[in-house]
Amino acid sequence: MCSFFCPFMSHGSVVGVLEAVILRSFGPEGGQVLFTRDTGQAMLSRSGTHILRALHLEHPLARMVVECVWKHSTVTGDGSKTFILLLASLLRKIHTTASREPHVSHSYNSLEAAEAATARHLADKLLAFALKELDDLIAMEVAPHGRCVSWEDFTAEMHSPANHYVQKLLASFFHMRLGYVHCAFISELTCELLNHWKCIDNLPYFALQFLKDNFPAIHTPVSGFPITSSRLIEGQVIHRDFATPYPQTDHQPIKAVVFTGYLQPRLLNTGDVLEVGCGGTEERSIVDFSAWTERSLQCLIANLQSLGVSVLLSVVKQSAAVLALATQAEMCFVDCVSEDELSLFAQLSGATPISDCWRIEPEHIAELTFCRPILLGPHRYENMPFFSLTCKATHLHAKNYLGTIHTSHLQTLVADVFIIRVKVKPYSLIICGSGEGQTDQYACAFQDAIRMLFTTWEPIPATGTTAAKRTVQSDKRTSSYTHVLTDSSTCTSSNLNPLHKCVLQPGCIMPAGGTFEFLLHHALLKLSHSCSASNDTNIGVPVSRLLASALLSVPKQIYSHSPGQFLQTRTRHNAIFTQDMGLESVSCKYELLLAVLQCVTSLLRVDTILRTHTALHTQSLADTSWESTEDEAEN
Amino acid sequence: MFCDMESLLACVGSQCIFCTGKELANISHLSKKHLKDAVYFNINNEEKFVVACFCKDSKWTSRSHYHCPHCKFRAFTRSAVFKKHLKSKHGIQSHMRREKASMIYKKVENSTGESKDEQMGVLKELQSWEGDEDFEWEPPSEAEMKVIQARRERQDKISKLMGDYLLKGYKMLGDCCDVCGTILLQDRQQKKYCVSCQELDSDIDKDNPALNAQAALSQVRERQLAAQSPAPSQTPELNGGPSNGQPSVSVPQPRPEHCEGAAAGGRALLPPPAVPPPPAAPSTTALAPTRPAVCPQNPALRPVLQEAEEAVLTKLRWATTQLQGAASLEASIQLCSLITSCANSLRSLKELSQ
Repeated sequence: MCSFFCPFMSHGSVVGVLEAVILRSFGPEGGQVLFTRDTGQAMLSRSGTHILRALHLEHPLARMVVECVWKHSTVTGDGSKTFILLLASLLRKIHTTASREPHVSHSYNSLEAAEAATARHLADKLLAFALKELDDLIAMEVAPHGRCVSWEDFTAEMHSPANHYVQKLLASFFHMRLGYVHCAFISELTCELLNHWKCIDNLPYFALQFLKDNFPAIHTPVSGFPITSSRLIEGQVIHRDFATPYPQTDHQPIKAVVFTGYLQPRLLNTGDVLEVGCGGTEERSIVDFSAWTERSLQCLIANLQSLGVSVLLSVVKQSAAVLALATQAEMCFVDCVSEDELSLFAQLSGATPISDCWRIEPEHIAELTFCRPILLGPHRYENMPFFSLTCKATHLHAKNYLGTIHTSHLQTLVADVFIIRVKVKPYSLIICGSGEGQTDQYACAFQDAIRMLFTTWEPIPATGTTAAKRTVQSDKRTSSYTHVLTDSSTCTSSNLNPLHKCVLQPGCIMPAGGTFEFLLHHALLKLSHSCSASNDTNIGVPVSRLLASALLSVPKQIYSHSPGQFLQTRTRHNAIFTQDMGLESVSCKYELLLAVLQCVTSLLRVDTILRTHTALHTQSLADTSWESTEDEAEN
Repeated sequence: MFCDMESLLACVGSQCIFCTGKELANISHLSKKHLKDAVYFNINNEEKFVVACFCKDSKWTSRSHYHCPHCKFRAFTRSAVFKKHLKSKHGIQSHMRREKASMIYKKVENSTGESKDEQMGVLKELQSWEGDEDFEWEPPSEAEMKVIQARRERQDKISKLMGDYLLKGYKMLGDCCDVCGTILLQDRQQKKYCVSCQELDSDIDKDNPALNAQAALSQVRERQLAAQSPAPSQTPELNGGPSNGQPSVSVPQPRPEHCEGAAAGGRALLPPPAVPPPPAAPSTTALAPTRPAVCPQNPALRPVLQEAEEAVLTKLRWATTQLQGAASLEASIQLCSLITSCANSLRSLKELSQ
């Protein structure tokens, strides 16, 4: 059963509806959306991703768009509402251009088909233009109006000017996300966290990368307290209680081991066959077997005691016998620790988790400075007492990490396979909020802020022809990259690539409030004038002009309460720096533009939507709808 | 101004008379550059066209301009202004053939050799081509602009309403409404809901006096006005033939948009005993509402029925001629709806007489 529809109108109307949803929350004057569940839980939020994902959407195009927004937000942490605004305005402009000048080079059945084909063509041209020329344009025309803050300057002192910029950047981010009341406090807390986690000897943004990947293990949400109770505490917090009573130990260092498997072999699992009484004259039974396992456990615990281990961490839940023996031996035991916390522990302490409990090597033993329980939150919220531990500063090893800077998919592989020993004193973040939803919101805001900072300071990989050159020069990369990142004042792209004149520097920030859009708009118009003078395109209107006019929708919305101010800032764009609307990151904006253009291209490739009576795949719908044209119809 | 292709062909030469610089005036150049931008119109059922030139006869020598054939060569630089002038001052409906010319000159390009027969064949095709209006783009007229604006506003309103409903917890479905094509919403009670059908007023129903009180009132007003002064309105009508000036004062032409249909309907419902074909009214035509069926109670009204039938047939004939010459989309739609309602009225009249 297929329902044919006019794809153009459907795209525009779907995205128009989503735009109407987020429009009232957009901008510094935007409001918050109150979510209520049937259970009575209520939450206020201004996060675009949160709002969009909370909507009930069955329309496949709408779901596709929301999926795009969510994926973009997991990378950059910001800009979901701007995404929808730009998407809607681009679709409108493409629609207007296509209906005005439909292609007549091929024969089409109807005007609608011609319009749709023109629109698709325009979108492809836009994307090609953006991938090829946009970063140069931004680096040359837009970035010089901003400031490049290098990571070293930031982490040097607490009150340096660079620190001030980063704090201002964070403050404007939290202002948009959480409101103006606590944004200063929260941004200070984030700066403090970043300062504690900076790694001096390593590459500057390694700290950000580390924080971004390990954020779930580094922070602890606690509900029931005001946000101003949030603080940093020394050491890593493991979100489990002691399974055995904690004995007070005074001697240091405390030794700990991590077990990934079961200490006592489990007697009966599904599919196991237990052969009892084989190879012997005596009659054996299960009781004998379990007695034997207990005896072996006793040996193990004695072994551990001889090594001086007093803390045992385990991924799985151990049996009662293990716990009893550990209590007897006065060892503290924590089980059911989550995987990411254990991996963080392993990275911080340098100890490998033990998979085979009979072979305990010295490398498996971690040394801790202290290990104590900590009570976070009142009992009635069912918060278990936590315990925190920290580790001595150990040596720095970054095994093969330098070789995987660009390709982000390899970085996670490195974290899993290799052990990275980090010379850092770990600090954990305690995030407090009045309710569970609020706390969750603050935690998400923190995480997005770190993602945003990471995107800002991540070196932008080359596009187009230079990408091939980069992969070839893999050995020279490390040295040249440190050179790029430490030297922020000059354009060092000549070391990397002779083709590009200038490359977008990491750490480039500029005033918020539509500055980026205005400058890029002017730059694109300049480019279109120079292009139209040189050659005549088939379509008639250069795509840069289309993009330029679409970009203006963002500042128009920001200044929607005062149109006069919008016109003023548009004509005299020197005046924008006098207004204090905070700072924003140029790299995030660039990534946003690319993501929007890719979404537009995918949307316009959809010709028909076919309804199926049976479910296709249980995988996310976005995967199937990324393909062009129709889905399979199964009736 | 040129009557046909042959006269344009006579301009083929080494120096194009329509260009400022030195240009070879062959068929390809003439069709690509000048025919493409020519303004076409019908006079006495003969198609003529005006080509833009750079001559020194007008005050614009550095800009290409069109000479109006009726105003003793008054010149216009912009084709849109020229067309508007032709329409308002001389009552001539003109159009351009940009896209078709592009197809034509492709054929000219593809033709091997520049033989005279081939060129004549190609140009005859251009001449005989009626020109369907699908791929032509003209600047939209004021009425069309208003319609486009209204549609855009309506779409924005729909989007806003749908956004509000989504935030209230409604679900956006993957279906579209059968009536209006808007995306459907579903509430918590699994009931489907179309925002435009159930909340916003329909944009076509507001002209229908059966559904809208304002349209009905304006229709009554028009009928009263028309009935007040039938005599002066008929004398210019009795002249017959196409009249270029404004119609009589009793039924003034420039009326607000929403009353146009009612006004024309009032005119159409005027029961003239022996009325010649009404003047060829330019632009605004009738959007006749569904005609209320005349229901006589006794056979003595049979001659009245016959007169009514005649009047309807006359109107039908008039509408058909208008439709043949209609250039804008709105006018064609309105004329077609008038024809439909005339046919319905005839059917109901025939039923009554039986």
